Amino acid sequence: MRLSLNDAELRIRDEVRAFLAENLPAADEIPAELDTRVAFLREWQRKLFEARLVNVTWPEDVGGRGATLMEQIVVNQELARAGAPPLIGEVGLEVVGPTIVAQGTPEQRIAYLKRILSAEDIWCQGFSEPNAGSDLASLRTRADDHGGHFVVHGQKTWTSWAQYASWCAVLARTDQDAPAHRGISYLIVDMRAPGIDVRPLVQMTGEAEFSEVYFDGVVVPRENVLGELNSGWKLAMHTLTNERGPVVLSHQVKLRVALDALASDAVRHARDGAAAIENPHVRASLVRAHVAVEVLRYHAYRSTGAAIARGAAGVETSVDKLQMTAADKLVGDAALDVLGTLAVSQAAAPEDADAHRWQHLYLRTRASSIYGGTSQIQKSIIAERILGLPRSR
Amino acid sequence: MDLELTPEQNELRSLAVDLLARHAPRERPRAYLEGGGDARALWRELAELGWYAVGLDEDDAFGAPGLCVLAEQVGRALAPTLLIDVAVAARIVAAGGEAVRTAWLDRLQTGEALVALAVAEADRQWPFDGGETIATRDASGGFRLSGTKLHVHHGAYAAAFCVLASLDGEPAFFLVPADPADVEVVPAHGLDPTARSVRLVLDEATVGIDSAVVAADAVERTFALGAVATAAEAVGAASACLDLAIAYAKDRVQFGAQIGAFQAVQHILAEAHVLRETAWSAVLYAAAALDEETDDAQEASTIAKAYTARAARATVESALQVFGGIGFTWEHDLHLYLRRVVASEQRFGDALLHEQRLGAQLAARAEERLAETTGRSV
Repeated sequence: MRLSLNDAELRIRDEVRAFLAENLPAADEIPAELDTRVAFLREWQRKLFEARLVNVTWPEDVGGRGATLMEQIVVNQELARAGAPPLIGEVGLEVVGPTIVAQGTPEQRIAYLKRILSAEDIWCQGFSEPNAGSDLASLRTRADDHGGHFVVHGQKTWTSWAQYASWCAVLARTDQDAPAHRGISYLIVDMRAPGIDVRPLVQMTGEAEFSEVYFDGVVVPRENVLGELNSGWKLAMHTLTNERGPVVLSHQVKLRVALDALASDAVRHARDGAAAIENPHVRASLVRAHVAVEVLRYHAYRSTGAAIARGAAGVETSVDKLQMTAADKLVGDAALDVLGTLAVSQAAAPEDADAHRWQHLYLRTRASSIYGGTSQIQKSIIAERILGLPRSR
Repeated sequence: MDLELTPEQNELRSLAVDLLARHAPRERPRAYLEGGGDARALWRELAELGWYAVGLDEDDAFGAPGLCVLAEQVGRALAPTLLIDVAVAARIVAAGGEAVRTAWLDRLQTGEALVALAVAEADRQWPFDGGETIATRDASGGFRLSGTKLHVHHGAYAAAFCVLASLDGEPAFFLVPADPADVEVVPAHGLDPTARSVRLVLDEATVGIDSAVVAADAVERTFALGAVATAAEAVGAASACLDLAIAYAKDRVQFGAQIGAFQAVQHILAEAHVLRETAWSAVLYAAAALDEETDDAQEASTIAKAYTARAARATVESALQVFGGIGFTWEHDLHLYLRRVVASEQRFGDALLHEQRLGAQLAARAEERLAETTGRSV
């Protein structure tokens, strides 16, 4: 048991700090308009990659350092604490890349991994469909075997960054007769191929981070199957139970930073004639969020340590996901409690810029119990696979 | 960074499981409920094993997490002990002067003197200023104590009481032997029968010069440690109760199916599992933080107690919901767990007390940050 950082963790922390001292852009340098913003973020990730600070746990031969998960956590926390821009290549870095590291052929590792780290390639994930959300195994996108290649037909949705992606990790049915989980393959699809149509979806925050993607006779070469044919379900599950610790802990730092700013706003904003923070109910709301955010950190440290000791992440990450959701929602709720009438004010007036920030945070955190497996799916996983309860009816 | 128990701490845990299985079987708490119950054999063995001193010495292999591992197991078994009381009293004495250390430390560490904490008063769980119990100096250089302390655990068996009182307006601890000439011990029949709690009435009780600890910072530090250890005990009790409910959900059949196959039931149990796991993480983090004296140690202990107080109670209440009517009966053990976790909440501050402290700290920090930025821009 040790809370202090070891030598390797201290070294990489100092390296990140030195990098940030040289390279960290000011908050107002990050463009607001989506296209220029994405270009800016690609450049940011490239710089980090050149300093070998992206996905440090990946093996050295693909551009990582073979570092520990705890070192990755230290890197992520330092970046988050400094308010560094996000990594635009998140889907490749956190979702698809780890699966290629674990299951890819030598050729696939060479072709994709370094380009994921450097943000030369942005990836998107083609798992969910309009009629296959929580019940992912009922997906209907099909890939027909033509010997040397497959031909893909179908529709994917909630596909983040699809409009900027070079590649898409697609789950498609390659055996129509097999049971639901057995006939699915994991395909690497070139987003520039003919037959692909990307239609951005605007989410309730007003942003268009994700899209619907239509596949109409898209040709995919045979060597673009990841893992074995018809074993896509297993690979996708690997993706979904991939160790969340580093992601959770950098998210935690962002929540921490947001909550501190919110508490400061609660000193400046008035409610009923006094500083909002003097209102005991506002204060209690902030405390609830504060406790949940700190407990998220404590728990993620322990669960990550346990995953390292076990040698693999597992279904236990469902607990982390649910605690993250609890923290997200309580911070969003606290924002509304602090704002009072400002919660519904127009964002146009410059003096209401803070209000706009908290409105956005409130709306965005509502998605937390839906993405990455809904809270209900996480609870069913815990019930059946951790507590050993019978399969649900 | 690592929150895994060490091999030594894991070994301690499994030894504790064995010990408590022998001395505190499931029927033990029920004996207390029915007016019987005597755990002195367990206390003797705890003393022989040297477990009253776990984590006390800086070089010991267990640390504060070791104490929490023991407290967790005590909670799981609903065992009646003064483990946390003695551990906290020993740390109070260790913070005192040479005379009090010579007189008491060895006897506390060996478990020879089982000391019960006497802190709570009529409307205060933990009076940081010493409360309404007043200590005055007498002519011999010793002290006289007057006041009433509530919810003193195992007061009928304790060899002495570690009393928080006000001396010259400052908080101080006094070790008062359980001498009937000096103290009146009144059985209190509290909510948790296994605590066998008493009311302690002090009327000009005499305390020697070698039995006082005047160290205001000891109040805060021992409060933090006691809060975390008590949180560990509550997690243990809640977790054991949840395990019973999970087993029941696999066994009980309704509508032709095990009730654990219904999502409505599954999700109650899954949510409770999240609570016990996250609460245990909070306990371990806070315990490690206290040992390493990190900047956030005090705050981590406050968060651990605030969070665990709510989480443990919610977990037992979830178990009750899964058991249904049978869980609400006197015969069922469920209420023994519920009584233990509610009693634990009251020791070293409940959720509200800790949340109030967190709120004050949060507001003070926010004001400081704002003053800094305004200061800079001026």
